[in-house]
Amino acid sequence: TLGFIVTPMQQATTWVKSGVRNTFGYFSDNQKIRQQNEAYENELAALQNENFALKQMDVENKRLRQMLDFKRTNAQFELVGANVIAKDSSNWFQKFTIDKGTNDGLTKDCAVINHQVLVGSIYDIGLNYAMVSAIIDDSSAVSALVVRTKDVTMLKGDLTLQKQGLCKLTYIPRDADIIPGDVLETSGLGGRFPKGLLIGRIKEIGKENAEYYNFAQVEPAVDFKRIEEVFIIKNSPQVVKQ
Amino acid sequence: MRIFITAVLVLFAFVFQTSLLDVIQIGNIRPNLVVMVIIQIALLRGYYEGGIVGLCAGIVMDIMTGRIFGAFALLCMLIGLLSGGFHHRIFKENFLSAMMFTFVFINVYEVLFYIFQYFVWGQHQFSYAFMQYVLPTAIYSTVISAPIYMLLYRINEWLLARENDYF
Repeated sequence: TLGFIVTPMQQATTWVKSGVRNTFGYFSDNQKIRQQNEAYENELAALQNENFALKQMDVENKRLRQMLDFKRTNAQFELVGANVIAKDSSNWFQKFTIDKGTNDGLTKDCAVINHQVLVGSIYDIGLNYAMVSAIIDDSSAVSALVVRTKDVTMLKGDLTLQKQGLCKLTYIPRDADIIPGDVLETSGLGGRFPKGLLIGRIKEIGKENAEYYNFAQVEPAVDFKRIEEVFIIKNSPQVVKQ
Repeated sequence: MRIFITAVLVLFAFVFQTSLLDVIQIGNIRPNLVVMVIIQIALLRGYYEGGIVGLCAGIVMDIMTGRIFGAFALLCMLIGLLSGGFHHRIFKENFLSAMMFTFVFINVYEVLFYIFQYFVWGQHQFSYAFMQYVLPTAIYSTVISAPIYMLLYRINEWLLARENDYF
């Protein structure tokens, strides 16, 4: 009988007690949650930064691995890696400076490449630097071979095309069966560039009425706006002679 | 002291132009910081100092670009002499007049460069070169010339105060 009377009272008291506890607990828990939230936000920011750095390292790792694989599969070339440290002071030229020079065994006219793609050649050199003229520069000229048709032509830089990152293929015979999309590589003629280095693709073909030869716009395989690292073929004149 | 500071300014301008301005290029066009500094020093100091600064800056550019020695030196010296001729005719406190002269003389510089580098060798694409290279370079250089001129003006005033105290 006593239990019959006391039990509801105990229930009511417990109900009141839990209500009060929950109310006070709400405020103290709120502060704890806020602190926890701040800690999680800081941890998230740190992890996001770390993730970004890791992604950058992954991209660089892939790029360097490609360059290393290229070096291994082209053992006949003595390759020296270099960084691009400066561009030409003028907007008219497509030339840049690298951080290797005669101290590293380089000489004038050495071919400069990037993942087996021709970039240009050294036109001036110092002890610890060299100046490279890109193939899209107005002063550049490379003997090029159309891979599909075996036509030998001349690739030149052009002032009206270099801003778009393009260059001009000249001395295309009128009867040559060249079409947009044809791949170009170095022919090895001229004594400066080894044979077989990829240059780019033909983008558009043009005809000049007064000229015997046709010409074409060429899109190089290398993006000159984003070039950061290159390889120099130290022994390119010797390789050409072979 | 003035010679040392001018040399440092020209050197910094060259290094920034070749290494850093790549980041802010628009459509493959970078401002011509070195010529801008030559023009503004010439406006502040006169044709004599402008010519010397132009000659020395041009020699640095000739050495570092590895082309025919003297081309940049003569061109920059000419620009320094021409712009220095207006030294007594502008309000130096007003950066707008400096911007206007920067625009005019960078146009003159780039046109002369085109003529001696391309036109005399048979490349007659003047309208293309003017619209795609000369004018964009002049406009971009003029836009960023205001803070550069204010800095050079302050440095010049500080040096003048030092020289007046010394004498």
